[in-house]
Amino acid sequence: MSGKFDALLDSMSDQGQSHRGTAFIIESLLLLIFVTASIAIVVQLLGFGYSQGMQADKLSNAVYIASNEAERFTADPDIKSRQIVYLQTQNGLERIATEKFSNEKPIEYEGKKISLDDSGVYVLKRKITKENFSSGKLYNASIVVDCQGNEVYSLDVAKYMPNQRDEEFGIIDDGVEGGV
Amino acid sequence: MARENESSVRIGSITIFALVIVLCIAVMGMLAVSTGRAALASSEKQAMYTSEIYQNEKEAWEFVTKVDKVLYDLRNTWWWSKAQGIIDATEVVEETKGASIDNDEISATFTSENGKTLSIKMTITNDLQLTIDEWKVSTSKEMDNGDVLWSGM
Repeated sequence: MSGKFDALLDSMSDQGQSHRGTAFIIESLLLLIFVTASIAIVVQLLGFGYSQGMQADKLSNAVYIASNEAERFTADPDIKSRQIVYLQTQNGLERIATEKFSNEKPIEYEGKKISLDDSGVYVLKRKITKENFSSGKLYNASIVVDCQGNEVYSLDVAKYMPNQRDEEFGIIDDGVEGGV
Repeated sequence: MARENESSVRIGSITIFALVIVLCIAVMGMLAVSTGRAALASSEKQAMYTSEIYQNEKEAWEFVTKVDKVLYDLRNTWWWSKAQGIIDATEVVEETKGASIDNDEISATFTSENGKTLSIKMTITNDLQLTIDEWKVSTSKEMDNGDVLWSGM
């Protein structure tokens, strides 16, 4: 009697271990699926965050380049329309070319060939037009900054230059020369 | 006997460990997204303000051009006088929104949608020249955002 009871207990124990083993595998698989899905979502989140950061960086650089050019134009509006290439380096944005430029003739910078399609390369397009008036000239500048072939930022600036600058316009109180 | 055969690895502890790791990575992901979006929002604001500053300047220079042209044309006639100059300048001022004239002093304010303001003051001199006395950029910020402290997301 005692022997039969022990055999029954052993049989139940084996069955329990078998069920536990199956449950362990199923639970492990479910956990693996959950972790994989979670990591996939998190990787997408990280990628999205990175792309947003890159976009912000690009826009910020473009604004910096455009506003610098706008100030240069304001200081002396009688300048030519031109295309200027900037490269983002460890030292910040550096002007690497100021002439007409195409992808057929890449720019060489510190021994490397730079193409307009490279990331970190900004192309500033400055187009100057002027309207002649009897009293002077009104210069308009259209400043566009491209990166990898896409327009990132644009700015319209104007500056008036009278015919006789020194005689007609005085000095502003804050020390800046009177407008023109 | 049965207890001796049990595995020392328990799925419960692995699950909890995995959940904690996933939770940590998810928090890092959310932080990366919010930082990225905040940076982009900040850059867009900077871009918008810069555009508005130069847009105001452009309008201001166009206004100065018109006034200067009127005075210049009058100065090249034999009947010119300061009084006539003020009358002619008044016509230009009345066409311009935000501009006003008080005797020989012309003031104009150019305001953008987001509060960037350019105020200029000019004087018509006795010899019918135009002098720029003030060229001031300012920002008028209305604190109407209520409880929103940060809108990076």
